[in-house]
Amino acid sequence: MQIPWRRAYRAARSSPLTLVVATTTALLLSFVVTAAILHASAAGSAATTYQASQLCPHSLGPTLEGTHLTAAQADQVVRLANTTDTHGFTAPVAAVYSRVQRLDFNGVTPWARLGYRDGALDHLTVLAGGGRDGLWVPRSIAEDAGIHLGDRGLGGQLPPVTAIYQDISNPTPDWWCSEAPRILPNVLAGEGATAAVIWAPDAATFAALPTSAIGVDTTVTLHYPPATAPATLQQAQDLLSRGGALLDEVSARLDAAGLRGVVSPALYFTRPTEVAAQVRDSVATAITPLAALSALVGLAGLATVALQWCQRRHTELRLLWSRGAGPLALAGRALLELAVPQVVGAALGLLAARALLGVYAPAPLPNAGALALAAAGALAVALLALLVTGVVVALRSHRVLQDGPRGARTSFLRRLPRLIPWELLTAALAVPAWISLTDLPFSVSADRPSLRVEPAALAFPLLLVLTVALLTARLLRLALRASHRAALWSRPAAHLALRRLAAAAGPVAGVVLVATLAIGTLAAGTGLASAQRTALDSKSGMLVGARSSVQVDATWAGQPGQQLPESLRASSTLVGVSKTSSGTVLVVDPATLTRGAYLDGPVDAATVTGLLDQLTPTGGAPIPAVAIGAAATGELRLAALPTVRTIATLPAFPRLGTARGYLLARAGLPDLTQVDTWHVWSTTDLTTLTGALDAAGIQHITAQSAASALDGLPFFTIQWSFGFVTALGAVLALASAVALVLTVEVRRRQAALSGALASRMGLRPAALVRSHLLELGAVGAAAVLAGCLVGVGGVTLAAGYLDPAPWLSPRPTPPNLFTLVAGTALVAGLVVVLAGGIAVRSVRTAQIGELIRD
Amino acid sequence: MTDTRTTAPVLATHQAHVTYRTPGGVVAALTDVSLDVPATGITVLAGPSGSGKSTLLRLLGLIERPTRGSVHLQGQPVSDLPHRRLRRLRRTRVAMVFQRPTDNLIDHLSVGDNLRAAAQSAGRACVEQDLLERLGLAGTAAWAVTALSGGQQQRLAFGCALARGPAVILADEPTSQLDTDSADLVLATLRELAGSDTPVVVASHDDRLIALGQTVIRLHQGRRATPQPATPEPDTPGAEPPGPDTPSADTPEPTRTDEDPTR
Repeated sequence: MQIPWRRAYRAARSSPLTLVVATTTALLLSFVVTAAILHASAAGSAATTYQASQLCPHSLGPTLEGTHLTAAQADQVVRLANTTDTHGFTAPVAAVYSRVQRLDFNGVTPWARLGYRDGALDHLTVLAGGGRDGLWVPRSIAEDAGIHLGDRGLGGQLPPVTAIYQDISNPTPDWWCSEAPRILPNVLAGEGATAAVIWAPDAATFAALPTSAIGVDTTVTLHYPPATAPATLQQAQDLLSRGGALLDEVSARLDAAGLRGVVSPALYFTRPTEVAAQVRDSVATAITPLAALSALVGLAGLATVALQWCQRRHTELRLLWSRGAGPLALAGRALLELAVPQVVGAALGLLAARALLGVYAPAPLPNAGALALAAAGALAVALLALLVTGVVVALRSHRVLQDGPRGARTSFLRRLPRLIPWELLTAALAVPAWISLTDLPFSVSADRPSLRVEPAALAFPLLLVLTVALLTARLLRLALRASHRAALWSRPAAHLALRRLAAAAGPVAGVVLVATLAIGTLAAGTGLASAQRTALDSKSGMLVGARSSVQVDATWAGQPGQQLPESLRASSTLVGVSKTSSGTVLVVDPATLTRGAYLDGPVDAATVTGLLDQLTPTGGAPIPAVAIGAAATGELRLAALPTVRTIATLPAFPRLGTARGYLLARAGLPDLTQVDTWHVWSTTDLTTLTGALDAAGIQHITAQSAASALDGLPFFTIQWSFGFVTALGAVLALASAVALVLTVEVRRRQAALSGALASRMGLRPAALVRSHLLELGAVGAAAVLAGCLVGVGGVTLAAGYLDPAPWLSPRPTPPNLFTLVAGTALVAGLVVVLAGGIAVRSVRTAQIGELIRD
Repeated sequence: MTDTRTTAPVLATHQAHVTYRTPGGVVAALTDVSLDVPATGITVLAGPSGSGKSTLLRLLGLIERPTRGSVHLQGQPVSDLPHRRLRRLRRTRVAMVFQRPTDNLIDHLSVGDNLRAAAQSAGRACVEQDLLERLGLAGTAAWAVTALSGGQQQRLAFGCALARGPAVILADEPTSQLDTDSADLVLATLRELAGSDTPVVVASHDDRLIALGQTVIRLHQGRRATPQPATPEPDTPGAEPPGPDTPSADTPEPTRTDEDPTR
């Protein structure tokens, strides 16, 4: 290798700015590519975690369940399933239950179910006794049947009662969650349908119970819980694979023992994993176009770096060329100088994307495969950067040196990008995206497990932003081209600013394009992600009626003047629900409704409070009512309830949404037993609510929590997609800020020369500062104005249509983006001041030699 | 046996025509220029700014092709050769010295490395100490080129050209960017070269440099200048004054090549 190539590193050291720019450009490009890969994978991880949180922990692993087994069969199944090779799962947790039956204790025959579960006694709260050599009876049965410690059922055939335990209630603790259908009695169901469990201390004791007690109709469940819940899609798929192998092995063993078909193997996490994979694919599809666009911007940046390098090294390139070096050799010279910073930049981009994953992505943990893919992406970026640099330098050398000055006529191919009306193309693409958004933004099909967000619909806000950004850049260029007609010499600062802008129309338009794109995507991404978050919260609250809700015993709740337990009074309210042909009637307590109901959604809390004051009847029938949704108004009769007269109409209400219904005051109903069901609505979490009710001995069922009322994944899919849009907006904003500063720095000498000249012609320093601030401020203002307008506009247009649960009020609404807009304007102002400061400093510190150099 | 280097022209153009496209239309930089560059001594392309000197020099240096007409290097037509063959000829046969001293050197290499790099580009080895002594730059091999004065840099540029062992050295206004003292150093170098085997073609409007030319080719508005009618001196009947394509009156005597180049 000849000396100029061999010593290229010395040249690299002589221009650190080139190194910084090359490294930064490669870093940003690599970040965009690798972050897109990691973000999609993290979306899969977040979806997996969400899905895992929706299942009982024990149900995540393989499960065997069977009903109507004999006690002997159940015993045999448990023994055969207790394998030593658990394929990475923890030891199986086996449970055997008898059917629900009457058990005679001292002549009283309460409904009960006898059962055994590995480790059960360790997960019960003992109220009395605690010996592990007898039966454990729930308090509800013990109190109903008057069972005491030491009592023996079935005339002494059963072991003695050695403990009374606290009934397990909903929401069940994680350890009991998978057994909820068998251990939680439905207090409102008919007798004998369900019952609490009397636990035998161990398998042997259970097996030794008399046949009359455990009979020939037992239920067996076996769970192989994973050591930890899967946190990534890959872990989930691995779990399923191992679980399948384990179930195959156990099934074969059971088949060999003649127990084929007595238990059903299941992997309940199969479907959720498929959904999580679909979410990952949806997010990946949604973010790919913007990531590709950003990558193109990055590649254009790399090409610009290469062109700038050609300009900077023109003298050396011409010298080497005059000595016989060809374009490819000169490209090699460029690579020897720029390859290291570009490769380092690509690696740093990968590291930054991984390190910041928890900041911009919905989960901090990607698949191991995704990490490898991201590394491959970074490698591809590095190779692409080298290729682009080499090709650009070779072509530039060929054009400038080999073709010579007579090749300067711009070829059609070179002029082509400027001739294409890109904004019209993106606008044309936005039309089908808009149609997709307004007509069918979501789809469901037989081969997909859940709602799928159409990528075309998600692309609309981005295409809108891109169109406006391109249009802004185009208009700016045209305006600058025509700017020579403007004579602003009466305002020298403005005129100088305008001429400087016109002299650098290309770079200025480029900076405005990227900055508008950045601000627009930031606003659109933030706004749409926030709209989805709020919509999920609001819809969940509206669906449940409150943060948490349980149905309570009507005989208790229907008593006049009934009060909630003391611990719940500040946060909860009693609501009766009756279905009538005219709509659903909510019987509320006006004094406490606002304490428990969800009033953060579309219902204005102040309006509701005002109406509640008027709900309490002052005389007899008709009693005042508030109509909800499209319910009939006026005086009307609602089934068995008294005649009502509507005093107002609300468009929507918790629990009802926009469905037809009425709101009545509890005090207006003479007979509260006429109400179908009673519920406690609370702003506390479900565990606190049920705990308080249990402590007060109030029976309840149908526990609902807003946190799990709706399938959140369709909302999250949109939120996560636009979360990445926000991240890319931030990267583009950074790139545009750096580009602005670099544009100023690259034009340092011209600025210094013209500034020095203007100063010697009498331009005051203050006017010089103003001119630079006006110049850069115009660039910043154009980008902020166009970006914010299109971002906010895009959110306003799209937010309402991106509704994964349109059947439930409220529709997603655009959030208040004032803070974002104000923050963006502030940051843009700071960047302008910084760049202006650099420009002014370059004028003031310019050396004479620098100015007179030709 | 006849030495072809002294008899046949090292470079020649025949009806060379060069046009450029400009925003104002097509401009003819050279029109039908034919010339022969002798294989020895200094040939000066003289003329005012814009007369086409540099364009002609680029044609001769195989940096540019004529729009029509032809260029011959050592008798071989080269204007239609493919890029690859032109590059090979530039690598081994032609050495170019640009107008600005810094354009001829690689600023991040030392003086010695610049000489070695130049020699390497033509596939030659280089004893840089000898060359530097010959150029009056002894002891500067390890210096950064930026430590040299403009005149020293331009002399080093000629040293680089010599190190490449070309068939011809072409220099584009080598003194125009230098002050008088520095220009003197370059002129001294050129005087030395005038007596060497390597022919030199110089484009210049510097009278002192023109005076060095054994052959002076004058250009005016892209054409060979028409010879002016001569007035014979009374004591030298039939003699012509120096004109286009005539050996200069103050062509250095061969003995002048022995002058100290550092003078």
